[in-house]
Amino acid sequence: MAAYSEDFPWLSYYGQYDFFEDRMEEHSNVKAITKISPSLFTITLHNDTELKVFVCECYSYGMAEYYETVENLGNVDIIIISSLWCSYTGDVRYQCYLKGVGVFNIKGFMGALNAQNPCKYLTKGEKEYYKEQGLKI
Amino acid sequence: MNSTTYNDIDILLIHNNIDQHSCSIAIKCKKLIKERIKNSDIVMLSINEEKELCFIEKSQALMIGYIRNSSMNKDVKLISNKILKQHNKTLEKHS
Repeated sequence: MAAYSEDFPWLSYYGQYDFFEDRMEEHSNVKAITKISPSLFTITLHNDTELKVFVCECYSYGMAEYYETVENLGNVDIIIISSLWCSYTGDVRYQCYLKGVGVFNIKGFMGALNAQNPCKYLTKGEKEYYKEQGLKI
Repeated sequence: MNSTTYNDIDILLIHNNIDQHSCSIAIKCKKLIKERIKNSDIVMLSINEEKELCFIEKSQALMIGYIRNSSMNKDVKLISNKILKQHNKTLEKHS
């Protein structure tokens, strides 16, 4: 299954992201969260950085889904794959990182929000892996 | 073929690579398939992305056919018809 919703933007079963919103409201580095549409948010950090965040439930989010997202919503800063049973590919994580777009699950994004630039946040493991592979970071 | 509504038709679209051209072709194919099979859930993965996730193995996906960029409309129509035929057989079997 691609996602619950048959149409873009692959909304959750309930058509909302309460769990994501609750986690954002709890985060110490988040000043405000504004819902633009059911799956699109602006997260304002305490340093007044604004992040355009797309949240989706897509069974396997790959590069084609990324281009489809941009085609439908324009450029975004962060893409969150919100369900535990959904995932993203290594390619989309790395290619989006190079473009300055962060692709995370909710837990990963909670960690990224503490970084100076959440869009370019990599875990220690990711940094090591990319270095081992000879990839630019 | 008229547009037909189904439940639980999951389709995996595998495209060549992660460059924008290949992804655009996959997105175009997805749109064309969804016009014909409204309730299809379509996952798009490049060859390498599929390998990484072992999607075919995990989902026990069956090969339906190839879509060429030069004959996309015709190929999508053929594939959609093939899916319709197979789906009707399955429905008959379980009715």
